[in-house]
Amino acid sequence: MSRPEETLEQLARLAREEEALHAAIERRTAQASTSENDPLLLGVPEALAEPLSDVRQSAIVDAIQARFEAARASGEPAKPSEPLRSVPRAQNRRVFAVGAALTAVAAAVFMFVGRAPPAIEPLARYDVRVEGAQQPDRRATSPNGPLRLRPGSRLRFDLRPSTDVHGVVRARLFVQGVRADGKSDTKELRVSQEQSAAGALRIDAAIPSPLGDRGEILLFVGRERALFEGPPNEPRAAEVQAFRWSFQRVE
Amino acid sequence: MEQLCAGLDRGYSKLWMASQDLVKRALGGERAAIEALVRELTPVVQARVAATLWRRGHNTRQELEDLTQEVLMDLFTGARVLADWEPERGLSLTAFVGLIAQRQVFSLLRSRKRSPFTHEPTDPGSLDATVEAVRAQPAAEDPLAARELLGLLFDRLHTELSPKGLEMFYRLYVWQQEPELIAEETGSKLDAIYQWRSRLKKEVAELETRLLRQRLPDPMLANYRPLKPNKSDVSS
Repeated sequence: MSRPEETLEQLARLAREEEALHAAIERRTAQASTSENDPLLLGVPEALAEPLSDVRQSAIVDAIQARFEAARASGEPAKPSEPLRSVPRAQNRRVFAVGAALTAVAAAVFMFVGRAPPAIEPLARYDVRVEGAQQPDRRATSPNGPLRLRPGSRLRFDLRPSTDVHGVVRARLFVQGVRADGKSDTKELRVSQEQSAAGALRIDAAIPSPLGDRGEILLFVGRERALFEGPPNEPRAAEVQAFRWSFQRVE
Repeated sequence: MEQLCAGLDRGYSKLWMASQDLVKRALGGERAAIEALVRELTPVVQARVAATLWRRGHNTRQELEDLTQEVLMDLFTGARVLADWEPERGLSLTAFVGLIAQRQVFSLLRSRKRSPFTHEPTDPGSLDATVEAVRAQPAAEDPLAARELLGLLFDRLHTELSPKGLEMFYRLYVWQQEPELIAEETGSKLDAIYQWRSRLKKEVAELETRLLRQRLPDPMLANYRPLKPNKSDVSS
């Protein structure tokens, strides 16, 4: 067998192993339960195999739909013969999913994930650290269970970009709690914000009262236009980055 | 038995026609269709993202979700990849999307020049190493390096082969389909399939030569996990 043929066979063997792993992960995500007996998943952390939440999938659908509408508004050829459905602005802002729901504003923010216009530098990826919960520093990138929060406690978020970021970057913070009656309640929090010359951010906020028994803290970071202006007819906003933590109220 | 097979064929045809209709409606902007497709394709995309991240020692949920979203967005709104699916070529929608998603994940990770996960480059060693000089090194002395090289080659194969080339690699070598079947499903001439076999050998040889010549640290190599971890090697 020639050397390239041998290499192709080795690569094919690798590909088959990967396909077996893919299938195992797909089974795990489809079942939404732990497959402890699947040896192919040995060592694969739950954080990677747990299915995407309905909330996240719904946000993806919103973002896709927003891009289609932006393309239609800018006069690009429509997608295959079906005309694009015109979605009223109010409806366009709503996102519903089984379980938790995002606020209309949060949903609008998700819709504007996209390429930055030439004049605005795209955002580098941020790493986030949060302090103030009833546990030591919690990185958004390696959550270890929910934040333990009390009404009135203060949270501090330190965001560091992977490369320098120029221009104003803003943040919006929401708490979405689930009440005892099972209904969800979403509030935007007042934040104080500082930005360094390199684009690092420090966000301070107070946890409101009353606070649901459990829920999520949602932090959105992006250019001002992306976060504060209404849905444009075309994507003129830079990308928005979203971070979330689940929380549990403690007394 | 023939009737059963014919019935199955009709069933599969109906399934594919239903999927094709769903794709068309989704690309036309119909929300219900987009939701259904996202629901169907998310596990396929997530599995490729998860496996790729895990091999590189990245175990963060945030990275997984962001990459999965990015790949899904590209499928629908990027180069209109979904519109290129032709069920009559013999690939199911999930198989087609799986191939594309795998390619996109490698491309996205490779394009992140200053990923927070990359290490600072170490001494790149000799840039003038020739293919022969490197191949002269006894492979047995450095099996880990050989395995890492194969892993790198695997990544590069996915990012540098054309979509058609990647499909042919999978059909000919991974799924080991007979050339006659491939010709029939893809509507190509048999000669063309044999030519693909030759072309793939040439492309892999060139890729391997380039990799060996570079001998530069590749950000993808940082924290690269061997494909068959020992039972004691459990990620944190």
